[in-house]
Amino acid sequence: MEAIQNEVRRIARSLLDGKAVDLFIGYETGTIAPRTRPCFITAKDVAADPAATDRLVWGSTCSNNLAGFVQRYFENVPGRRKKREEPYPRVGMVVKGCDMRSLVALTKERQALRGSMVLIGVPCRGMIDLRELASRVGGREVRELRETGDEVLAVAVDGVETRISREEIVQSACKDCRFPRPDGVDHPIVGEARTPGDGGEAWLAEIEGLSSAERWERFRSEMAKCIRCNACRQACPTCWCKECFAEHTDMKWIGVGTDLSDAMAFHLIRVFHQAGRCTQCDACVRACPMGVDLRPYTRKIAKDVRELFGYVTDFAADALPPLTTFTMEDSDGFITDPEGGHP
Amino acid sequence: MKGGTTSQVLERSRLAELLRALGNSVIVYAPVASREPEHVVELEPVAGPGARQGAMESVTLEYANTRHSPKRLFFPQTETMFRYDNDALAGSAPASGAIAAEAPGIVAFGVRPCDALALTYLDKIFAPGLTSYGDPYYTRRRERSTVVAFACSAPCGSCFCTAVGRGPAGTQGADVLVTSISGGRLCFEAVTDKGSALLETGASLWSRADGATKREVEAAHAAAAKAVPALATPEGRVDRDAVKARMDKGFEDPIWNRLTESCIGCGACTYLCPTCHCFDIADEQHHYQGRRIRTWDSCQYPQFTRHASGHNPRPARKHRLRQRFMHKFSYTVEKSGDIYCVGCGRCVVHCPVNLDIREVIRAFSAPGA
Repeated sequence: MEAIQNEVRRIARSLLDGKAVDLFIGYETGTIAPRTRPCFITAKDVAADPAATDRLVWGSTCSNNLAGFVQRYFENVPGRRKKREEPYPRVGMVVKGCDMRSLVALTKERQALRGSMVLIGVPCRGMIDLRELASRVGGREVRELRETGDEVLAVAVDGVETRISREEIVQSACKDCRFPRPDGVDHPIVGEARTPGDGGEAWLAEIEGLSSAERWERFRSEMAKCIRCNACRQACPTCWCKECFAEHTDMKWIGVGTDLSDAMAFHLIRVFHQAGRCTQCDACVRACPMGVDLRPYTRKIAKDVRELFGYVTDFAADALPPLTTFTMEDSDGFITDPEGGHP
Repeated sequence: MKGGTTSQVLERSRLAELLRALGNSVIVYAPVASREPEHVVELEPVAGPGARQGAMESVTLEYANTRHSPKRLFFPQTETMFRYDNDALAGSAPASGAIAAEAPGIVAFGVRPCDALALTYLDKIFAPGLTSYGDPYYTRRRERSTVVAFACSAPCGSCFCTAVGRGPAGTQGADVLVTSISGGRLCFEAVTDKGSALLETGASLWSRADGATKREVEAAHAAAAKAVPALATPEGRVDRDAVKARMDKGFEDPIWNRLTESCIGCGACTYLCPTCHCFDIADEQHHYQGRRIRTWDSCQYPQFTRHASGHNPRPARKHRLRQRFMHKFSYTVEKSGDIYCVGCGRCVVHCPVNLDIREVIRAFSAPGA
């Protein structure tokens, strides 16, 4: 971990020093241990203080999907009517597998300019689920997290120390992850990455095997927790619509309250809009203050897209996402034969 | 309103009895550990109308604070203001607006002192006083409520009530203050007449607090206040007037750009905040029947200030983030003299990017900022 952190700092420093990038986005220590948070360092910051890049950290709580932060720098991309006059900034960034795949999806949608970005790829061992960690220590406030190999030592505010196997508190998104090593980056860092997972399809199959009444109850009880704060949408790197359907007032698609049907409609439509774009990074799940579990729905959409259209949100820069194209071979059984053709 | 100096002691093991006795006439809310994950605690009805079966068994006193603030007991996220239908309108009968009048009384047990203080701020907005308009929905519920605050014994790393509020044993907004003391006992101190009345419930449950008990309570309060992390500002607390002056002067300060860098523009902070109180009003109509609802709204959303013309005076995220902090540290100070932040730390904990309000305070506390 420390070796990777040193590499990230070194490369970021040289990129900023050499004016290869104007801005670098990485992680820094958060204000409440053991969290980290997105960190933005400009070339100016480094000119003023050469040690500015020492703010950058790498560890087991670098969960935020940073891809969501780049879209704002590349607004009015070429091809749009309104051309901008000043050049686009050059942005450097640390990416895990999930961040990189989200970036690829954004590039395909012309929301990120790959040519204006310099990417440091870090092999990912999986990030720690801070809620799971809190459960393991009985809800105590964890002040420090020490890692030795496959074990994590959590030191609580009252001094109580708890030893936990790291793998037991790794996020579900990371256990499921098929792509723990980012591909297509400019500066790949060498190191250990976790063994790729199955996209969550094994545990998803268990849910698929439930009766429709059981699945409905699951969905209902999750949706009942939603407070419509939009944290899921805002944290999602590929939710970049300037105006979300949920915000239309002239042709109002859904209500603004906490009526269960409105929460259901919001999440269903949002997940459907993510077909072939969602990387199952679980930024939505982590951002939710109410702990709404959206995982079965994002996993299910990914599985359907793979089975119906043979598309996976991987690192391939040229494959067209299914929502932006069609082929004569596209599955249409769910339209022409809804009873029999649905997988 | 100042009640007597009544202090009484209740065994923790008899708390359920007290809550049940209170539930004879009103809804009793108490901190309940959720089933999954169990360390999340919310105020839930445990006795009286609407209580969930088994909720009383999950009442816990082992919590830093509830995830939701208690504002939703008085200012629900979605509130039906009235219903209407075509027949009633044709017959010139008024729309049925008696919904708030039906609001039952509430005892809110286990409200943390920071959140109790926040209720006094909401009172200034919704109850007649600061403006000449009283909000009948909110006021009705507040009038019929008793707030039993529970003094903090173990403040969190995200707490800063001593910097902006009245500390972990503050009594503002509370009718009763409860303190956990040795031997599994709870000391109840009446703060208002309503609180004194509550302490008369179930005479056999109580024993009188003696001098030693009172000294123990005081020691517990002092220890908790010391345990709240000091704010890393020059004064260790918020200098209300200085922060306001610097924010007013710094409306266009580039610091706002930096503070906005990581903001993702969600409304989690505003919805969990015990003092944020902005709302939207919408009509939901199906054929000839409908209802007018009031829902929470957030200054972090672009449509919050969007005009019918399409113009938006706060088009960028920076403008909206600045609004949230200026509202709390400048506009409300101007109107009522209060900082609309009580230091509960919910926004610090739940912000998906750990954008910390304490850093905003610090940025505008530094001389020359």
